Amino acid sequence: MFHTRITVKCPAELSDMLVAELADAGFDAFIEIPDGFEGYADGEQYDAKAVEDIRHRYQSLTQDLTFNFDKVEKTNWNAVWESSYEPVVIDDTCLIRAAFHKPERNFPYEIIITPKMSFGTGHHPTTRLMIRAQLGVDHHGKRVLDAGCGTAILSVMASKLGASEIHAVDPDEWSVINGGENARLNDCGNISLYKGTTRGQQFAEPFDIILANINKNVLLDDMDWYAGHLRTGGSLLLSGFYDSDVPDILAQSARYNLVFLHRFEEDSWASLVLQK
Amino acid sequence: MAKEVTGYLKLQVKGGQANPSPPIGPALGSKGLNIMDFCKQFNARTQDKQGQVLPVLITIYNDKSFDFVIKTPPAAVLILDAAKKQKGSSEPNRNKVGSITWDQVKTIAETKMPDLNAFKVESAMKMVAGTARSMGITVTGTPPWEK
Repeated sequence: MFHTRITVKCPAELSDMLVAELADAGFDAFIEIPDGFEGYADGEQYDAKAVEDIRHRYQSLTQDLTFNFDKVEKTNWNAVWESSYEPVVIDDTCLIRAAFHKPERNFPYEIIITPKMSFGTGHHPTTRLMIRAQLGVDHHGKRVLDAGCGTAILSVMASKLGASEIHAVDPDEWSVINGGENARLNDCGNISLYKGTTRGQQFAEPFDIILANINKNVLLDDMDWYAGHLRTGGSLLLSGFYDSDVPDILAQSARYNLVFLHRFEEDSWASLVLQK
Repeated sequence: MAKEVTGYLKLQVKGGQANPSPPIGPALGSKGLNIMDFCKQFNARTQDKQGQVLPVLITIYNDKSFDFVIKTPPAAVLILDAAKKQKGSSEPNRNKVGSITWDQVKTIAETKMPDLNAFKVESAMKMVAGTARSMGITVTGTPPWEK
């Protein structure tokens, strides 16, 4: 796993144009540096011929233009934050901590997370909103899907709440590996992990509970899949969007006959509990 | 004690597509900021501009917290998008060089007005047309002020 870095030195007035053209040629994100910028592409997923064409066209405008390429190996860039993060307590009921924390007292639920650059440590409001929603849903003996699992924190919570089997899916290979590590760290032997999109998975049986803390666009796109893979009476728990996005989410869920049960809010983020 | 600003980062990231890869990962991570938190917020705030390159200015504070402001897409990004729409699918993969109309220039100028150093749409349009020409994209038709 690596990224291709292009380092561009150019006159300031050409910077935005080159960013626009290189973004079109497959570079995903850019950062300003003195006398130019750097752009990054996943692996070698950029159009080398298009980049060469851009170099040609802009070198006719200025002599002060250079492109340099190198590779950056993927590593845990979040390590500094992860080495010193504070534990999180949700509603005096659930403690989320790192392996290096010594818990001061017992809580009904305790989750240990070593995130390694995956999402889901309880520091973001949406994770807390999902766990709050989970606390109100009976998980005993239930079959659960965790769509876009990240650290698999919600899967671990489902396991601790008594779920019988949990299937966790994430398109990011790092999260799949990390989710497995966190499942072991919490002695949850009933969590299975899959790499890919939720829609790309084949599950023989429907689920009693589907958990999805992703984002508005993905939730809207996948609502039909969630509805189609829930048992009648099953629960769909959603987050990853703002309060202001709730009407759009509810309009879409109503199209698939999902009934609104609860809404939680924190710091302008929201989570929803729906029932089929 | 009020928190102090310890630095700024200027990035350009595609809407809805922030992830912990570089440059976001190393730039924020090396300063001890929670990268995943930034990505979740950026993606939620840019859902309606999926895939469009957006400048983002991040302010970093001494308590390892951050704020960020998302600006309008660079004129060059909007010009390329407009040129692609204009070209349609009849000439795929030909050189990027294309054309846009004065109507498109006006739309781009209006989008960019909040960030441009221009008081009138007409001056903003001239700036946008100048950028387009530098990129090898011609503006077709007659400018509205010459009609």
